[in-house]
Amino acid sequence: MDTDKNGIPLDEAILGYRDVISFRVRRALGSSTPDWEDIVDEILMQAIEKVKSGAFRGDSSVGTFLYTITSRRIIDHIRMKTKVLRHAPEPAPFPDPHDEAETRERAQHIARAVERLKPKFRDVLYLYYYKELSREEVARELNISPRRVSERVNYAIKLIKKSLRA
Amino acid sequence: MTNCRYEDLIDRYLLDKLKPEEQTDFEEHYFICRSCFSKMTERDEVIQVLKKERVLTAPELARLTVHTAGAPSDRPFAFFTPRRWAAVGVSVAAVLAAAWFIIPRTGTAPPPLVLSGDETVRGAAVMALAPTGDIAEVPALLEWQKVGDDIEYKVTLAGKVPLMGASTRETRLVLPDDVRARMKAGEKYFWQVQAFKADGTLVATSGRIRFRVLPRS
Repeated sequence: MDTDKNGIPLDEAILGYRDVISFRVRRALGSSTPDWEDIVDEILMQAIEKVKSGAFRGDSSVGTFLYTITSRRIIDHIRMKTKVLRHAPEPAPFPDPHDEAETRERAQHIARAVERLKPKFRDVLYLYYYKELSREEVARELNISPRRVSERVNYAIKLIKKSLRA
Repeated sequence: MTNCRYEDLIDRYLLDKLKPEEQTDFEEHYFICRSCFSKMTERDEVIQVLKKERVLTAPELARLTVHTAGAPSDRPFAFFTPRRWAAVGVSVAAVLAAAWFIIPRTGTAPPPLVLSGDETVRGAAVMALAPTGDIAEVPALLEWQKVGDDIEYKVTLAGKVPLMGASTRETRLVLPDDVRARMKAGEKYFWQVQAFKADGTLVATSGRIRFRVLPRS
């Protein structure tokens, strides 16, 4: 089996991209699409098959190779969906109580961390992320420089991240 | 610490503010840049919470009146305050109510839904029987209920990584020894069955059935 530039066997390296591929697929199709996890599995299987069959010759990086497969698979899925009757019900996603509880708990943790921020940080998060104003609009609103807006956003995220690690 | 030049695009990507070509460029980039991907997922998680949990709609923020001083707004609904939205809602409801009484309800019935050959109906369910939930040992086979005659079932099984994909016309699938050998106690696995007609049309699918092989005590 060939290896990537770090000496990791290619199939292992490919499986290490599950989180990146999952993010891209969920973002393109929406997390509520019940079969997004299947699509991720199919992409990984397809990539490993291509490596085994020698179709991937290492001309590009593994990341670029997987990006191409992922993008094509997303387009195929969207095309296939156009054949589905518009009003036919989708199979409901099968909820995993463990995962759901974990996600909910983490979200509550983040919410508490945001509540503990100083008002000047909450204000900037509110305008920038919740109201989706541009950096310049937020700067005008709060009477500070656009650079200061970025600094406050970055610092607020840093504090939230720190709180999650604690 | 060196900052990647793409980092500035993270927020705009997550807020859907990038141009299509910038978006494609950035998506390709985060497949090869772990640093950007890691920062993006962190921010995405926070943004999701800020949007869904409404943690920032606390009363003290009501003092912030969002406007773009002097400049015409690029936000198409910025004109509408909550009171104006309410007025719009009441007006629309009144128009709909009037239309309901005025428009005669004697039109012809809509045509029945007819499937063409290459359309796919989804929503019917395959009832998966076993394994499901917590089980004592690595399962020997997967079983589900029959959907109909002349049906081919496509079965997928995965844990943290895909384990197998197979097709069968039976309503059970014996797991190969090499697949069973890769399954470990304490790990979660899931499987799914899709039923296809002879012409390849998907006619039914099961949910994502999860199970866990309990660790030996």
